[in-house]
Amino acid sequence: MIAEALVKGSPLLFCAISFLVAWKAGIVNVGAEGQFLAGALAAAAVATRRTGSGPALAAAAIAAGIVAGAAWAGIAAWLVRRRGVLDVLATILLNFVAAGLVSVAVHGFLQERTRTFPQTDAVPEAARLPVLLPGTRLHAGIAIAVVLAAALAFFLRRTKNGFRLLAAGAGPRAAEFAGIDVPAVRTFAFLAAGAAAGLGGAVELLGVTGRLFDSFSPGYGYLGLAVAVVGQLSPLGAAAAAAVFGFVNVFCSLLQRRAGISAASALVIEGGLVLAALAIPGIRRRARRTEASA
Amino acid sequence: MSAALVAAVLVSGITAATPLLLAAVGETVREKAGILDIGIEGEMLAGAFAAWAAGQSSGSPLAGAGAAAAAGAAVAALFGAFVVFRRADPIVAGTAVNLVVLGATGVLLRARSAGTAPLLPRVAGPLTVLDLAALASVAAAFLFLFRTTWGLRLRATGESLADAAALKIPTRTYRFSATIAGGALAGLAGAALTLELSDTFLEGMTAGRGFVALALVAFGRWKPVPVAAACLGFGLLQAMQYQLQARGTLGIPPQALLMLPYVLSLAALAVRAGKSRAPADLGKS
Repeated sequence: MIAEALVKGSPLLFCAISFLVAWKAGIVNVGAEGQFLAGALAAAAVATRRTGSGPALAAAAIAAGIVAGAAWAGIAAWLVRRRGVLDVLATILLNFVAAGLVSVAVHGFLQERTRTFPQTDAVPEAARLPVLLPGTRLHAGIAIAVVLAAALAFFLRRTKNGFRLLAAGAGPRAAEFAGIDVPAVRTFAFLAAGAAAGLGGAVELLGVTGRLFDSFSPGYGYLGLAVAVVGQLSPLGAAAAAAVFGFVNVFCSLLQRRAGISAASALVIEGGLVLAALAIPGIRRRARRTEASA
Repeated sequence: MSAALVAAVLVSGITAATPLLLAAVGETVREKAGILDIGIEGEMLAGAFAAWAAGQSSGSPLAGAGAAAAAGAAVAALFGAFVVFRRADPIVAGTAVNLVVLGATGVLLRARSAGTAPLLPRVAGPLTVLDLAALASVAAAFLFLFRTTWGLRLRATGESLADAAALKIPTRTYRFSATIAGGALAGLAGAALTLELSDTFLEGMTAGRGFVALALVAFGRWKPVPVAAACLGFGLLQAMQYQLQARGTLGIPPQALLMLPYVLSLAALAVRAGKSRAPADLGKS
């Protein structure tokens, strides 16, 4: 059950990291959902339509996922920077476009060769991510998520570029005066956010589902935002919060099977956790939006 | 196109625009007060559910609409309590509210017996009370915002919170009231989905319509009449799409048509984001 909670928490952690990188640079990225789907779509296209040895195919699919996620975020970055669109709106609306693209793909050009269900072919077994603990679904992608969270924490706290990113978010005007190219830093953060979510989509495909289908992401992007806030906007906090959310999901699925209460109850608990986090004074202040992030 | 077809498209355009109009007009008033409400999606969804459930239980579509307005206002009050009084980030609070409503309506739906709600009667030709209310709300919002002292104070609150406070305007009262009013309208927008455009409730049936309304508010540059025009144009496009789809003259897969509203919204924003006309203190707390 703990393994299953971590499996459920893994996509949330990728999306939480996506939200965090952007947030720290002063961008509100509510687009992890779309970037996650873009990553999964690209990874599925590679893994089910190309041939190659297992590991090479997996690596190519993951690379495609990262690039697609970053590219999807790049559209939002362009809309925000060049066209003056509010970051929230650009990223949210792109989520629905990405979901539409996935739907077009699984009903059309990426549909399984037997044309039975609206889903892609299964990813070849050799290209799936290895299971870490026999008898569970605990896959290697979870380790990638945790390493990524630790890497982000290190980047923000211990590197010069991490400091530049934090400065661009905390005080863009002061950062400009200190010679930091704030628009460039923000564009980088946007692309990095997309890459993290895209990687998450590829990992979910190769590690858990093995196929792409219509409801591939039941709102992981939005839940990732929730995880980031409940994790007090710190990468390592998000890792812990993702595990908690994963546990809630497993628990509520169990509740549905045993008591007939819809598993949607998980969303009530998780949204409630965010509101609770917002109600606690110390966290509330940290969760406030940084100046001029629009 | 024959005259009958044009008329049919026009009427269905207004009908299709009703949920967008109600949500976008409410959001315009809110954003003029400086409140950016991502929770509008949850308010619409709560309204859609309440309208369906109350309409089904009471047999009266008007009772359903009343319940929808109350549900939307209640969800907005939750959002407003955090954003206005606890000064929480509106995007985080809004996302949390959306998750809670999506979950709560999912749980309640499973606990209820399925069924259909009574449809709203057509009172003025082909138009229902909600269609008329949507059109009336545009005029009401315009008159309130630009022809009353209250509207002036509300706009001051959105342009500069600090200056408004210095003028002894009770900014929190204005912001919270605007949030609630917008929530009631968003709830009615949800009612239009379950009492007019269909007669059943589906999990997550708003499917991003609230976010489209947010985009149209920016496209209409925070002015009720241009915002309404944008909503009506959007409704017309959708009605034409339905007609073409029904006649089977489009070779585009239906899945691609589903993402059309979002692509159009993004295109509209890219062409005319109107950021410079946004209330200066929008989203600040």
